[in-house]
Amino acid sequence: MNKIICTLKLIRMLWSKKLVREFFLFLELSFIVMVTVATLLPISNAVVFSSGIEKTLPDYSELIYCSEYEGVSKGLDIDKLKSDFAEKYGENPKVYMTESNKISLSNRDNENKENAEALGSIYMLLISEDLFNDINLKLSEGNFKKAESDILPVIISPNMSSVHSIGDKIRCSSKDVSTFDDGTWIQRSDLDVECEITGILDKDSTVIDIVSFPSRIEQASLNVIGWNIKKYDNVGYIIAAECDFLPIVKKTSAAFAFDNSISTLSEDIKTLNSKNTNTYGFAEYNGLKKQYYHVTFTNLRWRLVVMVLLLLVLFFNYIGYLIMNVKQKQHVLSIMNLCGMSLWKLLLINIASFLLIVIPALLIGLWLAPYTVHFLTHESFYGYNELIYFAIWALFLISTFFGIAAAYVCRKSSSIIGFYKKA
Amino acid sequence: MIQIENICKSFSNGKENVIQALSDVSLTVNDGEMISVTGPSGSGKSTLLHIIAMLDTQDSGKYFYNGIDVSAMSESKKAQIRNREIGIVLQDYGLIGEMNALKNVALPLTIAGETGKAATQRAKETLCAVGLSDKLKQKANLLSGGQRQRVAIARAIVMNAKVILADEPTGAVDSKTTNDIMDLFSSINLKTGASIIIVTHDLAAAERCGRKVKIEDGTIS
Repeated sequence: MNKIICTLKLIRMLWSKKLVREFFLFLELSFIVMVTVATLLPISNAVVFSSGIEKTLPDYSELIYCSEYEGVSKGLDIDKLKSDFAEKYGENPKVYMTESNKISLSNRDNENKENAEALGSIYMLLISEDLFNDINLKLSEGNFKKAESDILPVIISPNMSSVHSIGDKIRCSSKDVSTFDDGTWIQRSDLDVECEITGILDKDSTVIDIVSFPSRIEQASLNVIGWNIKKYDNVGYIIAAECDFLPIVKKTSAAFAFDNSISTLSEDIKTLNSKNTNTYGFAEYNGLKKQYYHVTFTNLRWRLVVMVLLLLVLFFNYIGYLIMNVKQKQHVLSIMNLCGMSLWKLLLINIASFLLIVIPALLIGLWLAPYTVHFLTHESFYGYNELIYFAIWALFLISTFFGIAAAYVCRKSSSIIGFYKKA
Repeated sequence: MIQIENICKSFSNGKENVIQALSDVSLTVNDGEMISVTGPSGSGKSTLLHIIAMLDTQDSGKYFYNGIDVSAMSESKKAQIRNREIGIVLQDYGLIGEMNALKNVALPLTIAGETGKAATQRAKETLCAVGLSDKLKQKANLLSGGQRQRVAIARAIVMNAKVILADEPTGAVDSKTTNDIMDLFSSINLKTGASIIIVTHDLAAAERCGRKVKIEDGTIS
């Protein structure tokens, strides 16, 4: 204990008298950590999401995504596409399709249970048989089954598990059914099915939901393949495998999975798109992934530039602080050496005096970072409140300026008694 | 206690100029001796003191401290000896100006890992012994030259040093203060039996020592 107290006393001798310089450095580093986390979080989320998609999707060598363009509304001719691919590549691909419908829910077992519609909206996601057979959905409880009777086994999203449990029987029926003038519909009207809950999705799971991309297919990204369950935590989801009494009927998009690799895939996709202009759009999985990261980095580009600049300023400030500290404290360090502190201990004390500023600043920055991200995220600004972000940046620059100015003003020429140990 | 045999030390400024600071210097300092080392500027007095203080190493020759060859000691061991057995007093005092007298004197105790009331009391008593009982909380840079030198001497003896090395301790003070400081060194030598080596230009101060060693052009004459 005595040694710790003595070490702290020696460290205190190396700090400035009123701790002004150290305080500004502490503040700088905390801000840097918060801003860095806020900037890198979307990249981290992107990596997690992309990894989640790949872990949830089955093993395959190639995946071709196909979507109907907006206004076509005929539905994909899945059988023709499948046979065309089989003829071209010598392999019958697996067909991954999903269909999402808004539903209303009633709990047959216990009418006193709070209605799950308190969530806001609940959707039923049907998945194709091929996808059901191969998918690696992450469940926290239970399992995922196919229908063997007229009761449909379903798994629910975690935000529904507070109201529903495994074994509960619920009735799902279409909600907000509406049709366009040409007779096409948003929600299918024939959905009315008895279900049994057999499993609950894990809170970190990724859901495969293959949706159509009505615009230019080159702009489609991983979001057309699936989503992370955390993204829609205010919406309930019920997932089931299609069956005889509830098949997928809305076939506006699909993914075709191949076990064999296709060396000409990129060229084939271009050819397919040029032949099917304004009807279908095709994309390969790697292209979707590339586009996803491209969009992520594009959205972040200015924040990344700001973050890199801030890191440079921080590096300069901390290196400057170390150099100035060693220069100004040569006098103190040489006296400590005179009084019997070894050079190794001098070095350790110097490093410790630096780390005692850095480590608390890092910890506080990391602790405040999630609150900062939450504070910065504002829907009306499309993800990040840019004004607040740059206000933090401005505050950081001002404190850096004052930190450097204060260090310069407070700097006194130290009476160097010289090093007795000459190299 | 201190035995130096045929020490040589040179410095190079990197431009082919080699300065021979010490050339074949031998010196023995027995326990309880008070020695003055005199000589003109640039004669090698301070270099000799630095080697004795284990702050520098000789190019050749042997240095035995209490019978142990210093060149065989690690840097940590030398630092430990400097902390516990050797006290150093400098011409410009070598104090930390922003700290008060008590904390300056307690610095070797802090480095040795001693803290608390016992350490503070010891530093207080040492300051009182050098006549600065009323200046305990005074910042070092607000003390007079003589008072600062007393604080430096107190710091040198707070660990009950067996050897005190003083490099021009009276160089920055007036003659009256010189006498006071030399009285202090004599008192310490008598009371504690510590060996004292004083490097000085001041012949009057040198006369106060039991033995006088003169260095000229890096050799003892």
